[in-house]
Amino acid sequence: MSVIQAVYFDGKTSARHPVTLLASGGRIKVVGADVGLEFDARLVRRSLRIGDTPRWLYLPGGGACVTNDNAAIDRITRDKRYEKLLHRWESRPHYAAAAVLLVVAMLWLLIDRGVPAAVERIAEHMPVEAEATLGRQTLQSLDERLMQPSQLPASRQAALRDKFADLAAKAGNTSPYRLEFRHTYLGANAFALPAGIIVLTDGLVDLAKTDDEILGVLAHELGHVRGRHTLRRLLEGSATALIIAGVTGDIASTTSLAAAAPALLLQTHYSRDNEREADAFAVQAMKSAQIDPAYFARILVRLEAIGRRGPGIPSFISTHPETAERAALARAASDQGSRPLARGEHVDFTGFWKANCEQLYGIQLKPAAKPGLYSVSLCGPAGCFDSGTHRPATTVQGDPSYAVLSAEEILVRETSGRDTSYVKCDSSVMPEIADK
Amino acid sequence: MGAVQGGAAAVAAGERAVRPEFTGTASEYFRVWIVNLFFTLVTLGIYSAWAKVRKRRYLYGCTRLDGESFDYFASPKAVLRGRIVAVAIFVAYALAGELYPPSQFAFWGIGALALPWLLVKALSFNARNSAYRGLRFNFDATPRQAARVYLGMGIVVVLTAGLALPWFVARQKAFVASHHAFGTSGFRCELPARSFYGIYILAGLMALAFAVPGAALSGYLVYLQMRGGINLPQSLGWLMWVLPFVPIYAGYAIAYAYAQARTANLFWSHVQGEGVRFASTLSAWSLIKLYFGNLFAIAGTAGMLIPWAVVRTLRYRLDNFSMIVAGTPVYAGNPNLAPVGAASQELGDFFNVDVGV
Repeated sequence: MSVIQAVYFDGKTSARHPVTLLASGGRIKVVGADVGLEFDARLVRRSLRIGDTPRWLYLPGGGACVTNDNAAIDRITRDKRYEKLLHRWESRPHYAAAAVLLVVAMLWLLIDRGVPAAVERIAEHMPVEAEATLGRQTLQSLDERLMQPSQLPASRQAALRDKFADLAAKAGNTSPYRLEFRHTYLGANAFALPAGIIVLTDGLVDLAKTDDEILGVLAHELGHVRGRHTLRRLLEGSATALIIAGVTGDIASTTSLAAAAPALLLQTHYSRDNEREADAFAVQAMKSAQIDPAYFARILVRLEAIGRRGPGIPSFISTHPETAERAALARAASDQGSRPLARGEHVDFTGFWKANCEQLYGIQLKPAAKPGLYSVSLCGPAGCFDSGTHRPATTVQGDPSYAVLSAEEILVRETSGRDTSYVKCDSSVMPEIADK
Repeated sequence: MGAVQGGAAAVAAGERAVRPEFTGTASEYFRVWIVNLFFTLVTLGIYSAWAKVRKRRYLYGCTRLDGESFDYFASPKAVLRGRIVAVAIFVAYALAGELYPPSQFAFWGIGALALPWLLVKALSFNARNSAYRGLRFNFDATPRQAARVYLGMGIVVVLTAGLALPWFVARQKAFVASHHAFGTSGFRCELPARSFYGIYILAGLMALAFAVPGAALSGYLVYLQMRGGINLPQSLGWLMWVLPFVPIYAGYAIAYAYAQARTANLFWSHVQGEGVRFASTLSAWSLIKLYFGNLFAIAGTAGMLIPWAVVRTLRYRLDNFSMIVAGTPVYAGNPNLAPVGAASQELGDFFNVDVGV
């Protein structure tokens, strides 16, 4: 027989009755100063054990007993298996530690594997109208907040449209797309929206030295369109947000925003795969159209150089893979990719070369005393410095190799593998450096 | 019952102040939280209903008032049904919105009309599934009464361009409190709208005091950067996007904490039951510190300290709450309480409807 100290409430008033519970032979007796009740133990419902919180026995007829003696209640009533399991997990610290690891693993699986797989299926079955609406709305909200109509002449727009249509046709593209020209203070940019909308900013058209560079960027965005990457990312973003909201759902919204931040970091991960896919398509499309993929590499390097200044659309900047890696990929695909990078050529560079004509420091490349080698010097207002002795904003380490991309642009590859593109500046606030 | 601390309400002769006590610990709640989260993930969310009830049972069970703990006995199956309905409606809303945007107006229209009913059901579900000393709480307002407050007075707020908002909040809080009952004994609450105006005006000034200089400073920073004055590395470019929101967010959080503390204190001092009244002594400054502490702890641990934040917040609130009892009142239970479905409460959770107590 078990004897348990408890408190009885009759469910009719709030009066408190200290009682003793006696359990034996399938019967439970509730005995106190003014209480004397007996019940069939099978009709008594009992609350689940959670930590060391008080335990309730719900009696037939609306009364209830509460006690702190959790162990005794476990003795007189049968545990359901899942209840035992739950309590065991919750009461042991090392089980909780295991649960932490499992939760992290599950979340990772869910977000890294489950979400893209689910999104894949949703994207496949998503009605065309739904995607069209989404694309239209996204463009509309960007137009309201960030973009104005393009300032390019209609003839220039038409020319670019035709060239791009030609490239898309030669690349065997069958995905419908729509090219939109916009002006924005966000500067040089291009991005794909759902439903095949490709937005090209005036800034990017201005930045490009040739139309082939623009075509490279557009081919990259067409790669996104073909893979419906933007739609997927939007879906993935909402699905991840939903999961995070579900996990953190029991705290005020003031703080759940903070918990969602790490999820944004995860977001950038799958978009990198998308970028590689789009890059691969751009290279292939350019080759099909007999355009040297090196043009794509050149504008990428230039985009990165200006990306350091001024705000850009965050997704465009932070989720793209390292520019050096991408440019190298495009250049490797180029027919002339490896040739200029080989050393030993004698080229005289004159004029002032800089990563960006608005930047203070420039670069001087000159043949070294040893034939076939070049040294790269950094130039500032005070003159030129040999590499290794002075490193302003532009860093060049070791003895770099270089590639002549055009009469106006040299690509310098440092020994670390980092590429920087230098352009020839027409006007300069810097003193003219005499070339040897 | 804890010792009466400084700042507690004055207690008249024949009255005693009873302070609630929280007997749980953050580490115990963490274990309950993480294990239930794990099962929720394994079952792809289905277990979340059980987890919700279990977590709430833990928090209720650890809250003791006058020696007795609270009990929560919502049926997880009812909660699950509610969640399924809520998810279905949300998905329908989202899909219809994508396919045919004007349908969202219809949804909001229906939602606004259904709001009083939704609120009444949600509050009833919660009250009837909460018990103390073996007696259930109750919420007995009709949807018509709720409509008068939420829609009728809500329209006044819209017509006055928000000027009537403090008055509306006072009326709404009083409405919710005065339709609650413990057993058969109802609570009474009348709130002076004037005091709410004072709180809201001060909170608004606080938010502005942070947001205006903050926005100006970050505007200047963005301007500098666009002129090329600051050369941020590419990997830190996002800073320029985040920075402007920091002071605005901080100002909002401070104003929010201040308004929360002051309105809660005001609210509880005007709630009365049979032989019982209440006092709340929340300090705005402590609440601000608490919220920011929670924010950094949760962000820094990717959410792992959520249970700690929940326990800490609850403990602070309970420490600053007291029930002042005259004599030893005995309350009667309400024998005719029909069970209420959970759908409306879950819908409220989903669409973030604040029931405001």
